[in-house]
Parts: sequence; C-alpha cells; structure tokens
Amino acid sequence: MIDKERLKILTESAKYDVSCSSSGSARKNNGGVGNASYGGICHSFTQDGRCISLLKILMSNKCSYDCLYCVNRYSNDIPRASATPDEICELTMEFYKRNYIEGLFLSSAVEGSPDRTMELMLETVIKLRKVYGFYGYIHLKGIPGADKILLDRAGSYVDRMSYNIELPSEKSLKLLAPQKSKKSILVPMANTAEEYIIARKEKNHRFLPAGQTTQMIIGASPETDGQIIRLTEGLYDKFQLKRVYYSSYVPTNSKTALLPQDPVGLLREHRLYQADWLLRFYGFKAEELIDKDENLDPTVDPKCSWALKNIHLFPVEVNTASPEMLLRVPGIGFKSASKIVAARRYAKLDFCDLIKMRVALKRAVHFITCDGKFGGQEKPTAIKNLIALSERADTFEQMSMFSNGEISFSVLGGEL
Amino acid sequence: MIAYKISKEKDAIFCALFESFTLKERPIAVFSGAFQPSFDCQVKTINYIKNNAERVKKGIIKCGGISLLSTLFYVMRSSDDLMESIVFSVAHKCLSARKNLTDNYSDPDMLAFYELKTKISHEVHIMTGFVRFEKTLSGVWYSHITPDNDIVDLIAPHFKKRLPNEKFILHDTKRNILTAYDGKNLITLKSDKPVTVYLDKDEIEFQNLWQTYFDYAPVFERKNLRQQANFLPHRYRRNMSEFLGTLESEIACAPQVSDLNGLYKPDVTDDD
Repeated sequence: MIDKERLKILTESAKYDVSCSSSGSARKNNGGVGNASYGGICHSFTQDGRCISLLKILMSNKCSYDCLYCVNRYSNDIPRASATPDEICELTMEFYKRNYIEGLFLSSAVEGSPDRTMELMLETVIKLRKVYGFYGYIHLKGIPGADKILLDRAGSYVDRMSYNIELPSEKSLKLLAPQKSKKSILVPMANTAEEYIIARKEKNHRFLPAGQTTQMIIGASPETDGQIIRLTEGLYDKFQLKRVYYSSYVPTNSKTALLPQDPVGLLREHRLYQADWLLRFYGFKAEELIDKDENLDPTVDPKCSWALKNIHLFPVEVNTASPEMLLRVPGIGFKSASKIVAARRYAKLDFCDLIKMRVALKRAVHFITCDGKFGGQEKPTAIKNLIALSERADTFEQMSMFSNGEISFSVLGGEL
Repeated sequence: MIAYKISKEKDAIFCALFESFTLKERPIAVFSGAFQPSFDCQVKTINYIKNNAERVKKGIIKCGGISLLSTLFYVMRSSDDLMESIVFSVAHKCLSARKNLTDNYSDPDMLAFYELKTKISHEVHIMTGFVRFEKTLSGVWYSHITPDNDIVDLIAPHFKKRLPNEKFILHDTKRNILTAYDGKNLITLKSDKPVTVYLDKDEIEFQNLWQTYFDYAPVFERKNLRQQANFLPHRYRRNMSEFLGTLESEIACAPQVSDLNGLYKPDVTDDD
C-alpha cells in the first residue's frame, strides 16, 4: 500500500493538471469492478471549488526536464517520490470501491526517458484492466517523445488520452521548456487523432471512447487571446479534440525573470472558456470572437461583445427567429433556445414567459423583441455598461455617497 | 374552503382525488404532515380505501398511460411541504382534461411539478457521487446517507451495475430505509432498529489516505469556499469521510494569498 507521505507528494505534483472530467465514455462492466457514466460524475469538491472526479496522480515527479513554469522541473527544490504500478492499481481499486472516485487520471514526470516513463504508465493501465478487472474511467497523459507503438497501444485500454500543449506558441516553448518542441507535442497528437479517426470509421468505439484533450497555460507567455483561440479552433478542426483546457498561470517556482511574478487573474481564463464554448456548441468562428486588439473584452462575455459589434443584426423577434440566431443572442443558451423553439409552437411568447424559462433577460432584453415589443437600450455603450454593471465586473462600480478608496478621493478632489 | 388530510400510505393521494371527483369539490390543499389551515378552512380527513385508489390509478393510466402514473409516483418521493398539493393538482387537471398535461409549463402547477421532478433527478445524480462506502468486517460495503428526497432505492441500481460482485447496503438514516444488495438482488426495507457497523481493519487506513489526497489536491492559491459550498452543500458533508476530519485540510489550505496583489479576490466567507 502506498504511504501517506508519497501520496501527498504525488498528489501535490499532479494538481496543476486542470482536466477533471470523467465524461464521454459509457464503458460497461464485464464481470469486474466498475463502469463509466457517459455524463461523468463528480465525487467531491475541494477547497478551490474544483471537483474530484478522478484520482489525479503522478507515477513519479522525478523529472529530467527543466520547464521553467512547471513545479516538477529538475532544478526545483521539492520532495520527490514515485509509485509502482501495483501501488497505483491498488489505490485506485480501493478508492473506487468506496465510491471516492470515478476512475484514474494517470500522469507522470519524465523519469529517465519518455519511452521508459510511458512503458511504466502503460504497464499500470494494462494491469488495472487485465489483472485487477477494472472497468471504470481511465484518463492517461501521453508523454511527448514516447514511441508511437506505446501510445497507440495505450489508446485501446484507456478512455481518454491527452498531451499537454503547455504554451500556445513555439517561441515560448523554446524559451520556457527547452527540452520540448512544437513538433514533439503536435506529432503524437496528430498520430493519436489519425488513429482515432480510423477507429471511428471502422466503427471501433473501444479505441479512446472519450477521445483526446489537451491543456495550455495562460499568462506565462505573452501570447494574445486571439492566438490562443485560433490555435484552439485549429485543434478542434484538425485533431478532433474533445476539449481544450486552459490553466491560468500560478507561480510555483523559485523566481525567474522569464516568467511573470504574479499569478494571472482568473478572469482571462474564464473569458477563454466562454469563447471555447461558443466555438464548440454555438457555431461561432474564431475570427468573429476576437477584437481588433487581438484580445477578448474583459468587461463583457465574448458573445455579448460579438453582439455589440454586430448590433445591426439585432433585435431579433423571439417568436420567429431561427434557432441558430437565437443561440447568438446574449443571455439565451442552448437549453433556453430549445425551450423557446418548443414553446412558441403553442403560443406567442412574452417577456414573462422568457423569465419563467430562465432566460438571462438582463442581457437578452437589449437584443430581442417579444411580439414586436422592445424593452432594452439601443446604444451599444449603454448596453455594455448596463451588462457590465449587472455582472458586477470589478472595473465597473456604482458610486454611492460613501464609496471608499480612490474613487471617493477623486470625487472629493473634483477630478471625477 | 376545504383542505384534505390524507393518510401516510404511498397512494393515499389517489383516495383524495376519488373524494374530490365524487363530491365535485376542489380542496385548496392536500397534506399528510403539518399544515396551518386558514381561518375559514375546513379540514377533512380522507380515509385510505385501497379500492378507490386503484380505480383512480386506472383512470390516470387511461389519461396519460403508465408513464404519467410513474411520473406521479416519482414526484411523490419529494419531501417538499407542498408536494401532496402539487401532485394532487396535476393529477386532477390531467384527469379533468383526460390527457397528459405535464409538459404545459405555462401552468404554474405543471411548472412546480416539473421543478420537483428535476430536483429529485438532480439529487439522484449527485448522490451517486456523494455516497461513501465503508468496508465492514464481514466484507459488506456499508454507506449511510441523508438525502433530501426519498431516493435510496433509485441510487442503488447504479451501484448494482458498478459493483456486481460486491455486497452493499445503502442506509437512509433520515427515513430509516435500507437498500441492500446481496450479490444478486436489490432489497429495500424499512427498519427503525439502530445499526451497528464493525469496520474492516484496513478501512481507517484508506480513509486516511483519501483524506490526505483530498487535503492536497486543491490549488491553494485559488481557494474558493463559496463555490465549493455551492457544488457540495454542507448538509451532505456529514456522511462524507473527507469532511469529518477537517483539521488537516485547514492547515493545508492556510491562506497563502499575500503575494496575489489583489488580482484574484476570493469573495469567500468561512461560514456557509
């Protein structure tokens, strides 16, 4: 059994991997332990508000690479540990039977060579499936640079695989992760994507039932939102990825001049995820979302920002607009759009009906008419201010008599 | 005005419907537990007569098929104070119109009915994650839960599929209902007797490992207790082993936000 101290080290080293979902696979139980639930299940929530769905753990954090942004880089002075395949299998099985977790998320630092590391991870996965009879969810990190045979073989045992893109451009990669290159990351991703597409054509749903994902760090390097969103779009189109995860940079290391000293705020990550959702589910293209200065507007969400730029397309009539157009209205999401389309078959809808259907009317009201009636603002600047205020964005504040801090000083001084 | 007091039987609401249609009167409320009648409200006790309930059930099947009847039974699992009144109104309206009206969301009763239904199905989903099994000396997995609604037998099939070769007990300690799986069949029974569980010798060790994992998995710079409480309400935590010994987790998550320069404001209160 793995001891407490090593579990602590391996958990702490793995926690910066953002992916936690256990969805996309409906693996059935075939006489052993476990199955996978297609929608995924969250088993607990930690103090940072993220869910625990999979046992996220490294096989080892003894890394031979020296990526500046990474907590496990070899020049960093942290306690090191590793676990054997059997220890990980046992822990997974025992946690799974107690219903603590939905499966295993196995990653590793590159200990020795990529091939050696990948072999160990593959051994663990095969043991878990064949010896321990585990049918639950397994998410495996692919080690860039490992042999293609190893990576392909892993694909037929696990539910989801992912390779970390780490940084959104090759230049940053060279600077911050000298042992990695764009090619070493993208080639295995492309190979896995190719295998995945072939398997689906042959109707083989056993190869990576939940597909492939990736993650990148935001804010450690100077790339703009525009570059990141275009890269994301390319990954979805070319490699058929299921998800791209973003992780805003948190300083985890001794200080270096190449990295920002402060953590990047969560707002940028949030806006990128919103844009990501628009790409995947709402039929938006990357070019539509990006502003002239190549960044997303921090004050309002990307859909709102797009609608304000294209205000000539609005307002749309809720009772007659096409479903595609309804999806483009800020405040109307996938669920409310389908409710509207279903309900307007029976009766004309009014603003009250939309409130009942839980449409976010504070945003939508400026972009729709209900039976010819319009209740919003017309000027884009006024709309933007109202929406930003209603979202309580940090940059906007309704002044009161007793507003504190800089604002009240500037009022007293007559500057405002 | 009139209100019906019904007995605790599962299908007692159908007797109330029978009474209402026979006497052509419409009660303002139907209840089995506590109810505060208004000044001019007359409370009428409806006796449970199985035959009447069966007749109404047949009528409901004629109106909306077996699916309507099963949806009514599903919503009756709710422990909402207004559940009886809502189910009564929905069944009454469906019977009067002779068709299934449950998807007519512009009707406030139907909307309330729909919301009770989603609350139950949501809780069934989250409880499949929040159940914690403990290994007992005899090798049976035991779990105690306190869900808001009476759903213990709805969660059990999920675990039957998942752990087909294990034996387990799901114990709803709020309602004293147990669902047990003996390796072949699921059995649900009601028992008011206290349950004593003797734990396996390894159990505490794995609970400690889980506690360690839980304490060191969060990114401390992003502490956000409000979001945690939104997703995992405090009332569920008393049955989850990782929250029973919170001391270590508090030490691990001690504030380390001094160097954040206000970039991220965790708008958090420690009390829920």
